[in-house]
Amino acid sequence: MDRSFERERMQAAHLIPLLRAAGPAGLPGIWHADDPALAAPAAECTPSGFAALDAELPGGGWPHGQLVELLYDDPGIGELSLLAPALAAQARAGRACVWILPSEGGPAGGPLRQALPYPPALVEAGIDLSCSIFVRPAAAREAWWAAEQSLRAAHLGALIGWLPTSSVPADFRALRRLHLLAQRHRALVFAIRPSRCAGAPSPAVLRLQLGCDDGQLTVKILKRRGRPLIEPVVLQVVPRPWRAAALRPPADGSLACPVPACAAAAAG
Amino acid sequence: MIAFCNEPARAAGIAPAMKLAAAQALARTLAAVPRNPDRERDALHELACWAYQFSARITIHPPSLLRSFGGQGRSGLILETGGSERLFGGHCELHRHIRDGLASLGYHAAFGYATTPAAAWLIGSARAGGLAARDARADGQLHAAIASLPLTTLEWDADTAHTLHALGLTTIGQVLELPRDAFARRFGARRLDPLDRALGLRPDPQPEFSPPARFAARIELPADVTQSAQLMFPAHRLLRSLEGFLRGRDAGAAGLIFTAHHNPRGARPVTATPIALALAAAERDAGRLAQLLAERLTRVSLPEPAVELSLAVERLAPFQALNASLLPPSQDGVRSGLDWLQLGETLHARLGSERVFQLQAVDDHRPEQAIRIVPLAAERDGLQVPIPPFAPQRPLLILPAPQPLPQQDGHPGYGGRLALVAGPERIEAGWWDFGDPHRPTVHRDYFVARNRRGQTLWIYRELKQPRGWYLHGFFC
Repeated sequence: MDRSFERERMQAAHLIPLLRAAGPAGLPGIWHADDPALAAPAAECTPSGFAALDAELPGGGWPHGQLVELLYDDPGIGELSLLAPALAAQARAGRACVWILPSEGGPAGGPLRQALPYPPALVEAGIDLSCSIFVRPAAAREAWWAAEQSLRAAHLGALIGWLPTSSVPADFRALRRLHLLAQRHRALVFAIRPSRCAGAPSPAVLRLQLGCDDGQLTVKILKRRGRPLIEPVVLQVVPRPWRAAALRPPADGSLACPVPACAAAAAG
Repeated sequence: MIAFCNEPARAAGIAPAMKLAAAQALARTLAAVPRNPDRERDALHELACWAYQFSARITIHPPSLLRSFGGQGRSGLILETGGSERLFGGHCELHRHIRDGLASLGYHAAFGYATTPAAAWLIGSARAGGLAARDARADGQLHAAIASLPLTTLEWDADTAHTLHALGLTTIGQVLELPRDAFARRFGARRLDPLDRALGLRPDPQPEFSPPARFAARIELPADVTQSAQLMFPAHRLLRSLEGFLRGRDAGAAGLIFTAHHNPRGARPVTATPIALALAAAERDAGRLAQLLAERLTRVSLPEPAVELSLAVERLAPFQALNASLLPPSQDGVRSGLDWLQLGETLHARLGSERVFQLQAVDDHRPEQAIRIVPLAAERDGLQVPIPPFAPQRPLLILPAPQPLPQQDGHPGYGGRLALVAGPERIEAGWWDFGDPHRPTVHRDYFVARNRRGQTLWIYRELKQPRGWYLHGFFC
C-alpha cells in the first residue's frame, strides 16, 4: 500500500514542472486552484466598500442572488458598518431592504432582543428609511417565514436577517430553502448567525466569521469559491481615533451640574 | 308545496305547485329544502350588486320583490346589455362572461335576450321552465319570438288563465291574433298591458337598482367549521362577489371585515368572531385578497364552531389599476411599487401590524425620542431630517430601554471592564415637555466605550439622582 502511494507521488512530482512550464493558460482540461477565473461567480457583485475585503471576495464584492452568512457572537464589533456601503448602494438604486430583527423568542438574555436600528445613524450611513421594512418576529418559525416571503419579491434589494438556530439538520434545510429562493432574483442576502454554527454545514456560498482584534474588525473567510484564505482580512470600520484612546472615567462629583429647578421639581 | 324543482325531479314527473307528499311518492330519493324568502331576496340583491360590473342599468324583477315576497312567480334580474356589448367584445362574449361568473358564484340562470325588457323576461321565464325559445335581438323578431311562448309565462291570474285555456288558447301568439277591443271588453284592458309592453307598443320604464355604498354579504356554511383554515372555501365565494361589486363601482377595498357567526348556546347568543384584514392600498382582485386572508387566518382560532360567514366592507377607496407597460422591464431594478407593497401586506397579514413597521428619524436630541415607529404605507412624504454637519457618530443599533450597567469601583462594566474611548457628550433636553411621563427630560453624559471582547458601546452616565451608568447602543 505504501509502496504504490510512493510510486504515485514520484509520478506526480514529474508532472509539476510540466504544468508550471505550460504557463498560466494551462493545458486544456487541467485547471489550477489558483486560477482567478474559477472563483468568478456567475452573478453580479456589489463592492463592499472596503478594498481589502473586495480583493479577497470572489467577483470583487458581495454576490447578488446568493446566500451570504455572517457569523459572530458579540454585537458592536462593526458588523453592520461592514454591510452599510452595499446597503446604501441598493438604496440609491431605489430597491427595498427588509430587516428581520432578532426574534423575541430568542436565547434568553440576549442583548439584541429589544434592539432597534437607530434611524439617525442609518440615515447618515446612507440607508434610505422609506424603502426599508423592519420585521420583529415573535418566534423562530415566523423569522424563517418572513425571510422566505421577502425573497419571493422580485424587486428586493437586500435582506438582512438575524436568523434563529435550532438543530443542525433543520437549520441546513431552512438555509438551503433560502439559498434556492435567493437564486431566483438578484437581491443581497445576509444571514447573521452565532459563531457556534461555524462548524455546521451550510449551503451559503460565502461564509465570513467576524471577530475583533485591538479595535479592528477581523474577517475570516470560512468558505468561498476558489482557493481558501488562511489569514483573516483586517478592516478598520470604527473611527480610527477610537482605537487608541482611553479616557479616564470621571469621578462621581466632577461632572455634576446643577439641574434646573423647574425640571427638578417636575421630576422630584 | 313544491316551488322549484331541478331537471332530474322534472324528469320524474314532479312539477311546481304539487304537494310535497305527492312528490315524495313519485321519487323516493327526493331531497326537499325549505324555502327561505329572505335569503332569496338577499341573494338577488347580492347578485344585482355583482352584476353592476356588466351594466349600469339593472332592475330586480318583479319590483314588489324589494318590499315583500309573495306568490309563486319567478324572480330575477333585467340588465340592459346593449351598451356594454362593445366593451366586452360582442354579445356572445358578454353572455359567456355573465354565465361563467354566475357559475363561479354557484348559480344557474336562464337567459333571455330581446329588445324590450318585458319580452326578454318572457323569453327567460320560458327557458327557466324548460322550454326552448328564440332570442329577439332585433325589433322585427319580437313578434315571432314571443308568439310561441305559452300563456303561463304572462302570469295572469288563475281565472283568466282557466278561461283562456277552456277557449283553446295556449300560446301568446293565439291571443295576439284576437281582435283587441273584443279582448279588452271581455277580459279588461289591463290584460293587454304586458303584451303591449313586450311588443314595444307602450313605454316600459323600469325602476333602476342602485348599488349601496357599502358591501355586505353572508353565506351559510354547509357544515360546522372548527378550523379557521376551512373558512377559506366560503370566503372565496364572498370575495368573488365582492370583486364583481367593486368592479362595478370602479373602487377598491382597503379594509375587509369577515365575521364568523356561531350557534347560540342554549338561550344565550354567542358573540361573533371578527377577522379584520387591513390593506395598505385599495385592492379588488379576489385571488390576491384570498392570499392575504389565508395568511391572516393562521393567526385566528375559532372559539366555537362557526355556522355562518359574513363579509362587510364599510368604505370603498378609489382603485388604481396597474398599467401594464408595453416595453419589456428594464434590467436595472427600478423599484416596483406594487411588488414591495404586496410583500408588506403579506408580512402584515401574517405577523400583525405591531411586528412589521418602518422607521423614521425625528429631530430630537434625546436619543430614544429620535425614533418613530410607523406602520407600512404606500407613499412616504419624503421628509428628510437634516443631519447637522459635525454631528458625532451615532450607533447603528440602539436599545429603546437603556440597560443599567454594573459598576466596579466607579468604572462601568459590560462583559469585562469598559474603557472609555470618546466623550463626554452632554445631552440635556426635553425640559419643555413639562413632566410628560412618556417624554422625560434627559440629563446625561454620553461616552463611547470599548471592552476586551472588542465591542464598541454607547453608554451614558445619568446626571440626575440616582446616578448610574447605562448601556444605550452598539456601534455595529
